[in-house]
Amino acid sequence: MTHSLHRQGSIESLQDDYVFIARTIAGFNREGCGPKLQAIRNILCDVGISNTGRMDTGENMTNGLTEAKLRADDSAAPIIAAAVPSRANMREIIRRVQAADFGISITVSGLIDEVVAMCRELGVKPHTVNLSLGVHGKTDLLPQEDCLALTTMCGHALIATNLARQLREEVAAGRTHPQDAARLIAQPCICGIFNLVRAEKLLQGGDRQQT
Amino acid sequence: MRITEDCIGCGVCVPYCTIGAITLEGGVAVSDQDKCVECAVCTRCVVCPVDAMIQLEVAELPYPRNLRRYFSDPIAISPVTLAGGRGTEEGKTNDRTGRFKFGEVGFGVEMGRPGISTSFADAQTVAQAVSKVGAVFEAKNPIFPLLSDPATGTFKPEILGERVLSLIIEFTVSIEKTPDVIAALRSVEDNIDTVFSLCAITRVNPDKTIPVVPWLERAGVAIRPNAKINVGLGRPLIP
Repeated sequence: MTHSLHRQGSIESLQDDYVFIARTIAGFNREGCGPKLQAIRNILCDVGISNTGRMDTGENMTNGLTEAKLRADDSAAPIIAAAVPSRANMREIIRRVQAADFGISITVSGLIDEVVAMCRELGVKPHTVNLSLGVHGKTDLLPQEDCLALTTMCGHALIATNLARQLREEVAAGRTHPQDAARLIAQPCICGIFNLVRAEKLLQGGDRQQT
Repeated sequence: MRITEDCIGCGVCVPYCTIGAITLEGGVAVSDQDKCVECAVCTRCVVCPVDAMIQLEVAELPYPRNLRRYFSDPIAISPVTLAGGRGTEEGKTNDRTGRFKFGEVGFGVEMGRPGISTSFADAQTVAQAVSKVGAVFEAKNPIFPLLSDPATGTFKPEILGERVLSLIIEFTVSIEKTPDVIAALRSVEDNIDTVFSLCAITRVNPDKTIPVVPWLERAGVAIRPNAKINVGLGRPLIP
């Protein structure tokens, strides 16, 4: 389960933050799905994504996974997950996947209004929604929101608050370039749904208007 | 994860620990074994200059400590789901499986998220609360076989002290019970020593409205602006 719905940050920064998920089901459509998934991976590469990963190897686009490897991958994986850095790219990916009619379940995470509007534009009927209802309990344990905007981009919570905080401070002090910091923070996120483009923007400019 | 006496105290591993269990003490790194959730991020991402970190695999860790690894490292394969990760396919394949129907709501209470971790004791507090309002726990979720009594949300006693990065209490109720679930969660949120991220899964109406929204609003729940939406491109098993 890639918990892509709980990403935090301002509406402004979430506007360029989408997650694409293609999910196959064992016993139904996973067997023999390799060519279809390879076609989906090629669509992702052609349109443009900011990150993706492989659950079986732990690789993402910062630590070994490359576009060439992605295009060559014809494995019948349970899931493809990718971070998409703009609404335009997300819309185009859905348009191409819809046209190809793979019959594989596709999930898009992002601002509800934007995703629904995208579906209307493409004549796609949203089927099921998973709503994020916030964080509850002992919330005084949580770190500052500027760290959460970075760490919650990993669906499995593998990015440490201390790592995000340290690299944010290094960028602010001019010791590390935001792009390099984003790649270091992204490394633990093995699903590859950590949006490198958004992270770089967050590290450059902060994210003060929280949702 | 354990740190051997070869550690030279360089500290490169410290910021990578997902829950802050690694600290520098007396010039060397120390891993607090009570806090460590065996997520393996440190050994996967950090190049220790003296190779002083040892991460045992699932099969090498004794029960119940090995539960930490199942639930904290998505690469570790759960013996229940035979997959990595902490939950199920939930709504992601609902256009093919029809798991969630109109009139139902699936809830996911992700204990310990984001980045705090949880004990099974705290998870039991929440599970027992929602069981009292009719929650039907998802049998395919990795926590299900750890329940000694699924009817009451009671876990096996020997696992209550184990800590994991997060776990998901997944259950379904009829949509009319939404306010009861929210009230049950509110009744225990001050009794746990962690946080939980909450989600609700429902079908989307043909007019693209979301049927659970009025129920959540009536219960005073703030719905966040972003969500995960199955866009319905999967071919249904039963057209």
